Amino acid sequence: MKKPIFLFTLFLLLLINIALGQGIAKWSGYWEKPASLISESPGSITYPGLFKSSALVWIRIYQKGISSQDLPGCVFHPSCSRFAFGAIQQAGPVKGILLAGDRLQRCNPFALYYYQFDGEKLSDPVEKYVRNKK
Amino acid sequence: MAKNSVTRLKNMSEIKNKFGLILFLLIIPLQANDLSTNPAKVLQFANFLFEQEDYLRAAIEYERYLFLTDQQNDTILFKTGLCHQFRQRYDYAVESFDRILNNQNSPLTQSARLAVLYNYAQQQNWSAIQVRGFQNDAEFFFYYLASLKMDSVRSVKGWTFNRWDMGLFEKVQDDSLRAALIAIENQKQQIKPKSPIVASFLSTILPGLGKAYIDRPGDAIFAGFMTSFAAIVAWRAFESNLLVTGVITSGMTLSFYLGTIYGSYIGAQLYNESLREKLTEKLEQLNPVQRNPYWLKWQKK
Repeated sequence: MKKPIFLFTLFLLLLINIALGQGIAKWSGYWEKPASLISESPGSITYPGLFKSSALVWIRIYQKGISSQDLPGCVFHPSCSRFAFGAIQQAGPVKGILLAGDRLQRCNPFALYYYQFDGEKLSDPVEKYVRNKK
Repeated sequence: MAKNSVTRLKNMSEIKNKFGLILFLLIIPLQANDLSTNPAKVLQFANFLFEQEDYLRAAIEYERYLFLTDQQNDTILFKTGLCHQFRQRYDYAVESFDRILNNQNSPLTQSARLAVLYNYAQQQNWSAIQVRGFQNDAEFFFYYLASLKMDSVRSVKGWTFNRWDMGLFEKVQDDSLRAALIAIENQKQQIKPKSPIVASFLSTILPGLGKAYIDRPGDAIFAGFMTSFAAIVAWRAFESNLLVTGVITSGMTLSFYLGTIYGSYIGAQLYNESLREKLTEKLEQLNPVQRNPYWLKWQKK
């Protein structure tokens, strides 16, 4: 009995990913490139793969549905979910998820000793890690 | 009769007004033409803009002046370069200063060389600085700064900073500068950068150990705790036949574990970068241009 429910849940998740995957791409500016760029090289428009868009969808669902119901509790700027979103966008799904996993572990009270303040929050931009990757 | 004379007078005044307007409209382009083609007036206007710190327009006017005169004027080229530099258009600035260097007899050669190096440093074009070499102490500073930046870029992947040829310091004429640079070089040799490979290997053996290696004990404790907690939850979920929870927490465990390994690798690189930054901050205090900006006297001209 449990197996069909599990499979149905997985199927449902897949459907949500496909339905929202391309939409999230639009939200994150994939299709909002300048017309000049598109006319010069129409092949350069990158559409996110299923894995990448799935990850982005679930982060966005977390941000809109769960995180928005609470006060901002992350010590960093950008917050962990925004960091994960940016990391997946810029570094790809595999490295992005790894960076996000690492960031969740770095989001602890000891961070005060290791990072500089940027306003009220500690500064830890995605670019610092993605630039290093290259 | 009187009516006729009044209307005639009105007509006359209208004609005068119209003639005045036409004359005025004719004079404007003549005046404008004089402003844009008379080199002396263009230069005067450019200098005015330079004094008003409107550097973008000043650069355009200086370029116009050079075009009109069609002569190599090093002073104007230098001011054009400065305009671009102040607008942080460093590539244009380098181009202008480089045009001065084409004239080997120019009295501004030395200042132009220094300006080129300064602008390259602002662009972080370290390899270009190294290609230029050095002719005096001020230029040696930029050469050493470039080598330090290039060296530390390499050291991120390796174990130590490269050792510099100490004999090169003998070429510095100023004793105090030489002593300060040697002190920084010695300090550099004492620094032990962390190896990213060792950091990630340690995190593979025990999650968080690599973080401890890169002087982040707080992160190490949390990484170990979170990875093991997620692993225990996943194990318990599978044990209790909670398949969905088990799959989700297994994924979390995996992302935490692999994330710590990758994070330790990147963290070691960032640690080495921070060491480099501390050294370059010390070196920046010796920057001859920051201590004695070459453009101050030009701003007053």
